[in-house]
Amino acid sequence: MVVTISWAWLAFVAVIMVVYAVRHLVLTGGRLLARQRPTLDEILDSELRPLSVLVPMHNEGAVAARILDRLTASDYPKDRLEVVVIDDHSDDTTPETLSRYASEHPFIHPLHRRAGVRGKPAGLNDALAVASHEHTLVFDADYEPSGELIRGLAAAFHDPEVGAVMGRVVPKNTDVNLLTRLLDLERSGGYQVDQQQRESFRLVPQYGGTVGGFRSPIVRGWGGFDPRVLAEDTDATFQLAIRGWRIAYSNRAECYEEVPHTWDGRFRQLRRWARGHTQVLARRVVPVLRSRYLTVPQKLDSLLVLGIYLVPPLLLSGLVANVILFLGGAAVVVTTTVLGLLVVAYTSVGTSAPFFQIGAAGLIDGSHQRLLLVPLLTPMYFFNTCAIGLGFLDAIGDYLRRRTPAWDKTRRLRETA
Amino acid sequence: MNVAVLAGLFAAVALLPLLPGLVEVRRRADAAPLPIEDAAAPDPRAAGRRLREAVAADRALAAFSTSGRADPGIAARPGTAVVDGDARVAARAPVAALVCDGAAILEEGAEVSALLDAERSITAGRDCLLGESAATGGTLELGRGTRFRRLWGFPVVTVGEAPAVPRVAGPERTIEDEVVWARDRLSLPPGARLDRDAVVRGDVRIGEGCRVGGSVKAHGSIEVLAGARIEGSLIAHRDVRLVGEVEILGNVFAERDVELGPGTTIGAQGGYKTAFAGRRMLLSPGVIVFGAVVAIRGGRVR
Repeated sequence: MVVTISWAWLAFVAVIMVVYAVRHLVLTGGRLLARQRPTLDEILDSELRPLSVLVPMHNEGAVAARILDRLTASDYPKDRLEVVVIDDHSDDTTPETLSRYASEHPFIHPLHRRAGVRGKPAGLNDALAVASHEHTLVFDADYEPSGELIRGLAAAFHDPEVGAVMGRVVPKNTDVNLLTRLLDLERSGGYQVDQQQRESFRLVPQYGGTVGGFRSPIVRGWGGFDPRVLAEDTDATFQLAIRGWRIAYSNRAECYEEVPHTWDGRFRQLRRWARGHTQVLARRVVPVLRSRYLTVPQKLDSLLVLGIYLVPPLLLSGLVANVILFLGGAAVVVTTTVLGLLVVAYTSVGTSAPFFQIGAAGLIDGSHQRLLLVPLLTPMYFFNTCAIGLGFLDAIGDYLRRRTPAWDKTRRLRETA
Repeated sequence: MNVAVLAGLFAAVALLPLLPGLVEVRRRADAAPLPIEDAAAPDPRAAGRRLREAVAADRALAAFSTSGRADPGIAARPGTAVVDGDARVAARAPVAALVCDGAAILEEGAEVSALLDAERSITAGRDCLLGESAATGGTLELGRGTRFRRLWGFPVVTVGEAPAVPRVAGPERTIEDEVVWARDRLSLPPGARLDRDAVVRGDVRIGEGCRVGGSVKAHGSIEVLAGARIEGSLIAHRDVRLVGEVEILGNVFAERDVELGPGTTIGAQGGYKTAFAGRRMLLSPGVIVFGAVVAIRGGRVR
């Protein structure tokens, strides 16, 4: 009985892995070979729409001035711009920095939060309550938006079907250490190939919440961001898609960010993402399947995106099934040989499929030398598996104990410098 | 001993793929962040300005420049021409690039293969070629049969008498709160009024004399009949066809082809908008576009 279940589970895991591998390969092939659709940032329009820009901050004294400098220096007309900077229970120099900029620039409005739940979703909700424009952009505090970026993101709203837009994130602190260089590769594959091709195939690109925007009335309409959800951006993506709104990805709207530079910081970030993503999976998988607005390919891709953080725990469970089969004497020589060949095939085409995405991104970006680092991502794969596995267990624990996870901010390089 | 050697060999082979990466980690040949183009607002006339600067800085290029009123002289020599005053390109003469501080006049069949930029105005006769980009601070007038890719003017106009487009005006009806989103297709009857945005999974047909207060997005094609007025933008996954005498206050964006019929106006005085075709564009006589006209695979004046 145990052996039969193990075989069945192993087969299930293998099928899931093959499906993900095919997805990666299709997206990569499409990005390299298929014609990319023109995007709305081709439009030149003298009527720039009024925008509310929200910047959540918790103890961002190290980076607050930089993003505010970028926003004040941008050539987007200031009478069309309202910047709401959310000081979320900061106890460093953030409040003073915000007050100084607000006194010099009337379009900057600090929002000091000292009560209520801390965290990005709650902060965004408070800011949405005071933001006065229909279209809202959101930037994380370590980002460096330009006027061109703001225009590029806002252009997506020419399309009345677009509920949210996401830009491309480009790591800036690549030369700090090996980790930042590897994360740079991951980001390239994720944005230049995965997001862009989902846009081009008319699937559901992800609103990432760090350099993007949305129509405020829609988000207000469903009650705002849920403070109990760690991945409020992923949740917003599927809330929009379920309701028939399109999420646009603008590959040319590029913005620098600071990626985690310590392994501990990266581990915590990934664990938080996996925890939040699993929460969203539990909440949105059925509504996604039942949505009358999503096409079959969109539903399939949404399912795979929602389940992406289940892959490492699934792989681990497949290993356990393998061990059970071995100990139960079920894995005889012939089947072991066949399995061995399948494993070789899978590791060549399946596990490496994300690496193909990264390679394709490097080719498109014209940045070839850094691709020599791709094999070094293999050990990182095991590191990611551990972080994601723990995040998955966290989410299960949250569900069983009816626990609301606390927000854990990623530490900036400048904070530790 | 043998086991140790085998283990060592295995470790060496396993580490082999990592070696180039480790070398790159040490050399840091490609460790800088990817460059981001952090330009100011896109300027359709930037290429013309750059060419002027290049000619001012480079004597070899300056040999092609001309002062004063240029006549067919510049057309006799294919190449780059920078003119202080007005410029005229003779009939069927080829020029690679032409930049002038006054008005540029292209006689019938003249061909500018790359760039045309004129401070005051551009007038292109019949069957001209406007290359990759033609931009002016004033009126850009296009003769019949003119081919182009990117145009910028205040406004861009096609000459020739616009043939009369038959119109059947109907009573004004309001369909607000009825159709905003449609799964298949949307067809507005003549004279209908839609006061907000519409998103349609299929084709859209906007009848004669309709008034649309918002933008229209179609997963298929959009066809707008005579006398309609759209206050927002038209966005289509396939084609946009404006039959004629249509007024669009917003932008027109089609992933495939765009056809602007006689008497069509896009944008309004004092601002600029864009008519964009992901493939080809066909302009009829009597078209006026305030701002940019872009046809990725080329456009033509009927």
